[in-house]
Amino acid sequence: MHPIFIKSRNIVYYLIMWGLIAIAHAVVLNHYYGFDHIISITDSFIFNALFAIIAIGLWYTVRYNTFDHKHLQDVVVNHLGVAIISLVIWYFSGYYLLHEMFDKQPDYITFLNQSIPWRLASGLFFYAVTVLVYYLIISYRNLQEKIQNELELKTLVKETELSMLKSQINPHFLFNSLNSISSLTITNPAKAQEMIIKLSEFLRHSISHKEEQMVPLYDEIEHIMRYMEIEKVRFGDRLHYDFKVDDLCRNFPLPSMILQPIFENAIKHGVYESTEEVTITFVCQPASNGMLLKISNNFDPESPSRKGTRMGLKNIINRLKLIYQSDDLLKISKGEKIFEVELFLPNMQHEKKK
Amino acid sequence: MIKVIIIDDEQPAREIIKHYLSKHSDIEIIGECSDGFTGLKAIHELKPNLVFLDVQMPKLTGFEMLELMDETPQIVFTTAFDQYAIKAFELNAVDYLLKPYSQDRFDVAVQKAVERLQKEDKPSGIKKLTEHITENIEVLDRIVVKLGSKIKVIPIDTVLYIESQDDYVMVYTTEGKYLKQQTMKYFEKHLDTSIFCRIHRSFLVNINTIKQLELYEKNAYLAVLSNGAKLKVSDTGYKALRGLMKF
Repeated sequence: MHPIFIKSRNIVYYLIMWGLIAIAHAVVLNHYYGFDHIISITDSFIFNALFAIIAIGLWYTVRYNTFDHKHLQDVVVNHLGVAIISLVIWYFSGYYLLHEMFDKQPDYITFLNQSIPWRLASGLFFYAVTVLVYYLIISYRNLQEKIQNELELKTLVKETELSMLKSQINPHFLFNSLNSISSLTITNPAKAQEMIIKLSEFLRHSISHKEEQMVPLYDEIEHIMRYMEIEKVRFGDRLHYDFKVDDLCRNFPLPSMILQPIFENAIKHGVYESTEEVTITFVCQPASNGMLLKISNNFDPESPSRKGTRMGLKNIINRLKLIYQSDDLLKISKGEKIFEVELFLPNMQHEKKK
Repeated sequence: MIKVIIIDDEQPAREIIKHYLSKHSDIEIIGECSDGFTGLKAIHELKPNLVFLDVQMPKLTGFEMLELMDETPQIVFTTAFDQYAIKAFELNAVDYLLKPYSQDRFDVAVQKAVERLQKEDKPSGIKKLTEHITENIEVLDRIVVKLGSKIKVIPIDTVLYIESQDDYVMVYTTEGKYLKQQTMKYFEKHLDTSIFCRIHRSFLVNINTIKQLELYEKNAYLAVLSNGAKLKVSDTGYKALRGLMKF
């Protein structure tokens, strides 16, 4: 967007500035060179108005002539070319117009013919000042944009951190598991002990993990296995799971706790809402430049999906964006009976080499 | 003998209740259910005095079940959710057990229920309880209705409009119409206000189903819906609709 036309106030400022220059110009002609008012004002108006128009157009040469993409010498050469062309057009159109208007005034015509050097000098000065101001505006805008982007990124980080904290341990899961343990202490004490150990390990891992930490896949899988085993005690035959992990993927690094919410989601919308058996399938394969993970579950198509379901997944998308600078790594597809999350994790070493 | 039904979708959770109840010789467990549908059927057929009811369950939540009951037995909620607990205690619910709970705490709940049953206290508190609890639920994503002995769960996005009929409302969906004992005011409050608009004293409309507005008298409009129904739009309704649909 052109800085002058971005606000109507800017147009006013621009006109006032040129108005002041034009007044000074006219005063000089009238006072020092002794031309009458009409000649002084017309000369001043024509040359300055023409330059004011040309200066507006100069924005585009500056805009497409920034130092980000071009070498210094190219920028200089471009500006020299543009300066010569615009000054020639400016001077000759002004000269022609005034020559036509005042050809009966020999004194003025002589002056017009002799004034080439200082007119071109002042034109060059105007050109330089205009271009400098435009460059200042562009760098100011870039700075603003950068600050804005950083601010957005910071908010994203904060939000993600916050929802990470919230999602770390789902209290509903925790208290229901504790209730199951309470029950097992009576019906099956050995199993109760086993479950306390699993739950402890699960909690320890949840509490100790750090968000920015990269962990090998098998570490995450162990954590998820514990989670699934705990849920299995709660839901019995209603929950089945099937993990197919390619051996090549076992050590693949991934952000810690990135998979856990996907499984939690699958349980929440699959098992919680269905009286049928639900199977959660996890497939993990190497892919070119990374690893492909698929987590799917069947669900009861008759139970209307509850709202607020995408929060967990959105949080993952945000984290992936922060870590991999890409927001199309996670794909969600909902079929008639199958809900599937597909996650592609790019190779981090590869990223770094780039 | 006090007849009891246990409704919880998790088997260990039912086990612990059964175990705690084994110490009460005056209580007989007549049923055990693992989801809202079968739970409702069991309550209807077996007529228990007391029900231990989980909130979060497949098919129907515990609260939705209460909405659908004709005769409400004494209810003790057992749940891991604590957000409704405080309200439940303020009101006249028998009890609200937060999982996991001890035998002692459980016995207190049973004792309260027994006292109520001896006084033959009608569980009027429960009705109030559901109303109050549903107040806390921000936005409805489904409506449960009874069709004879069957229960129908209506996803909110299939609802075309709701018409008030005295103490009831008629819920019109893409599939048919269903009578529900609830007030218009309730639905106006609990349906997503970016989708549902009260276009008339008697109509609450899903604006996504409005095909066009027809002028039928001076300054009076009819909303034509995707299923062909034509509904009167009042003055205030028209203004509300304008605000919502931005025309």
